[in-house]
Amino acid sequence: MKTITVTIDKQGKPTIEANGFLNGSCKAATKPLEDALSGKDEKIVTDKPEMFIAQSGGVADSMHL
Amino acid sequence: MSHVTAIRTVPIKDKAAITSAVKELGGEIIEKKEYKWYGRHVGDYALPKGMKKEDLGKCEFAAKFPGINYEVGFSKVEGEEGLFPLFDFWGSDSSGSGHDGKYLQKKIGDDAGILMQKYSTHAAINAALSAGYMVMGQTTDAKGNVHLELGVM
Repeated sequence: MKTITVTIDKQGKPTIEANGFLNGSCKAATKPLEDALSGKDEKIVTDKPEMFIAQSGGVADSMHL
Repeated sequence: MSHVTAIRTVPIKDKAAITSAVKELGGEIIEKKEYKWYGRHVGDYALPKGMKKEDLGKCEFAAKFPGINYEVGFSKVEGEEGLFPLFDFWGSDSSGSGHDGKYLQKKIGDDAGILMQKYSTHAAINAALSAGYMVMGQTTDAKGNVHLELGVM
């Protein structure tokens, strides 16, 4: 199952982690949460290697940067 | 697995979420345009980023907590989206009618951290439910961090 984990520290600052998504679809999935919780230019996005694995199991031919 | 997004500043954009957060701490939202504080900036601390002296004390709405005279104002900050909590942490008068910012600070946390953690939790849950996601669990770890597990169909 595709999941999103939101960790909120003691100052209220969240970290949003997408799990189990392939082919960059995670970006669209976390967008509603990022839109709700972030302000202008206050996001640091770190891609995980798995994001670039295509649904078929191969490597995606275009990387989502 | 896919990506991680770390958000450094959380503006208040969900009034239902801040109302729930304030209620959880025993307080209530009050519709008013000025919150209670010392009343003037004496210059002992720097002004919050994006604010001018004349902005202090003004808000879009406020939060009041039982037995505490000072209030939290939720205010616009120039150049930013949403609202930010402002409060005065000066004074330890225990009468409930004087300068008692230290009690307000204890209630909502340094830099309003306790209040904002609750706000972010409610805002994340509201956003997740609006997007059609399932809230599978909520836990708090030993360090006090809240973890929300959301299922995406």
